[in-house]
Amino acid sequence: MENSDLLEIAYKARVSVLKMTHKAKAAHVGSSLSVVDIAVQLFSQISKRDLNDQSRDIVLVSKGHAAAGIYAVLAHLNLIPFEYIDEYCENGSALGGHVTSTNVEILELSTGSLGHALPFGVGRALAKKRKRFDGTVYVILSDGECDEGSNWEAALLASHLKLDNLVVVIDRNKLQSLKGTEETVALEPLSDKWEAFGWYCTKINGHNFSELSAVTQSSGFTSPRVYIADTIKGRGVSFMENNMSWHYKSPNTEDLEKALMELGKP
Amino acid sequence: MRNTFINNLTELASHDESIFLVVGDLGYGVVEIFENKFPSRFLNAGIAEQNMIGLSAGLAKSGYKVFVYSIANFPTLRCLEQIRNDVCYGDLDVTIVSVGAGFSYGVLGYSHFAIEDISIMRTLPGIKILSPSDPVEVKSAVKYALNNPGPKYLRLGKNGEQIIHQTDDVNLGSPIEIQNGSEYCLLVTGSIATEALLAVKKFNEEFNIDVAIFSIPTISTDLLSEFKFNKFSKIFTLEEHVASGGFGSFIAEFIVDNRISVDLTRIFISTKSIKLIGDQAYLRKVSGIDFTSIFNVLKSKIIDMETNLDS
Repeated sequence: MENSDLLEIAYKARVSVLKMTHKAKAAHVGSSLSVVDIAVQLFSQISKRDLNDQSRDIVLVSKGHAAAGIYAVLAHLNLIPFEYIDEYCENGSALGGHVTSTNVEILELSTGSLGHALPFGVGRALAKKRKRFDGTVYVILSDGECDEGSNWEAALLASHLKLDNLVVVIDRNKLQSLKGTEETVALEPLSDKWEAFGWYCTKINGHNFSELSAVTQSSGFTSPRVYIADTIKGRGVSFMENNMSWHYKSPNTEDLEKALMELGKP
Repeated sequence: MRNTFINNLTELASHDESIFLVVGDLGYGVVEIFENKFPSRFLNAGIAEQNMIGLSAGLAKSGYKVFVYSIANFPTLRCLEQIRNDVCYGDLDVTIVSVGAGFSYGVLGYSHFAIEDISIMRTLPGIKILSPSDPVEVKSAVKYALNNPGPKYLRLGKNGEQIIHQTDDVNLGSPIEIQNGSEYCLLVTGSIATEALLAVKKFNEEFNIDVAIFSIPTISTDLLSEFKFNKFSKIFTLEEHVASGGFGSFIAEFIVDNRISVDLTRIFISTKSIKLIGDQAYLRKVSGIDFTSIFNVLKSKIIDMETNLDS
């Protein structure tokens, strides 16, 4: 896919995120807008989507609260039906407010409690190694989620096992639940920490597809990789950008209209 | 029990290439036999239980039948949410094996007492709990685990447990009678069964009354569906575990849910003793589950109570 196609999908996904969270009165619109481009890059570029193919790429979404963003991207990539996102969070519907694999097999791990997908990804990547299957395991982490010790347990073992088929993308929007990440439990220097754990680490712009393309181009690495993707929480809607309250609030009718005007087609 | 487990798993792994053993940096002198034979299906995950269970779920998702080996509460309580969300919700084929049921680790203290695990594990969706009473049941439990995909918890004693069953194999799908009796019945899970046998023997010697004993190796309602509770006038349960939500609690729930009318008495660990230091035999005694304590409960409920009713 060309970058223009990716931009188009990301735009449509953001429109859907706003409509979904408005209709469902759901939270986490800021986190969802933040992760959209990363999700578009990964879910559009991964090879072989046949779930029975053991050599396929795998994408695990650890920041399960960005569900609206992930589902919107999957719908616009035709990986889930549109009625799923139309009925987001409705009683008896397929999709709730955190990432689930129950009705979306491609997501394979249901998340919502943080710090779960990287350990799971270590198991997936190790199985590929032991069974000599190709394919890469991608894990999307939030930055606040780096507070969770389980991630560092997994990081330590992944580099010990030289899992060069394991890739983490951190959605580095610098806001967590109450305040900024640096005011809460300072993560910086974050790349130094991952490097000290034996990972190849680099920073990219998480809203730029030319830079995001590095994530899915793998060759010549001998260790697991982490991309710290610089992002903006609430990306695309000025009054939501870097604004803590949009971790919780859902857009009302007026907010929605204003936000959709602002998004602007690519 | 731990050697029986690892020897059987190793043997079965020769015929089944999907068996994978993950250990949490424990099992010195025990797990090496598997590691040496099947290095590509072995992993020491280090001292990091959350990651250990998460990666085991990942391995299971990739087609392995995963056994996770550790001790005490480390592979259960320390990583409970990984078991709940990653393994159970995902319905993945992971068998969590914990060595050190009840007071097996005795003098190592409260951190090493596995006395709340049945209660906590059995609330999780879809998990099967295996609680063998002797090495023969352990052997059958390993086979059972392989033939029943999905989340499982295998609760093992430590080492040197007495062999109770004189057969090579037992059926874990129903209560296993280990002592005959007609009117009274003691249901027991785990290696504390040996204390039950001693207590019932003493009770018979003193009062000439046989109390039946059944080992309950899987904490599952399916196992009890055919059991004739009404054959007995009094039922007792025994476990090396606390009262809340444990084995006796499970039996009590079954009795209530199925409208069974029977006199039930539960024998369990008194938590007043959790700060005391001592070996397994000592701790069983001070917490009210050794054979003398069991004998006293039988006496008070069968002999003393009957005497009171008569007078």
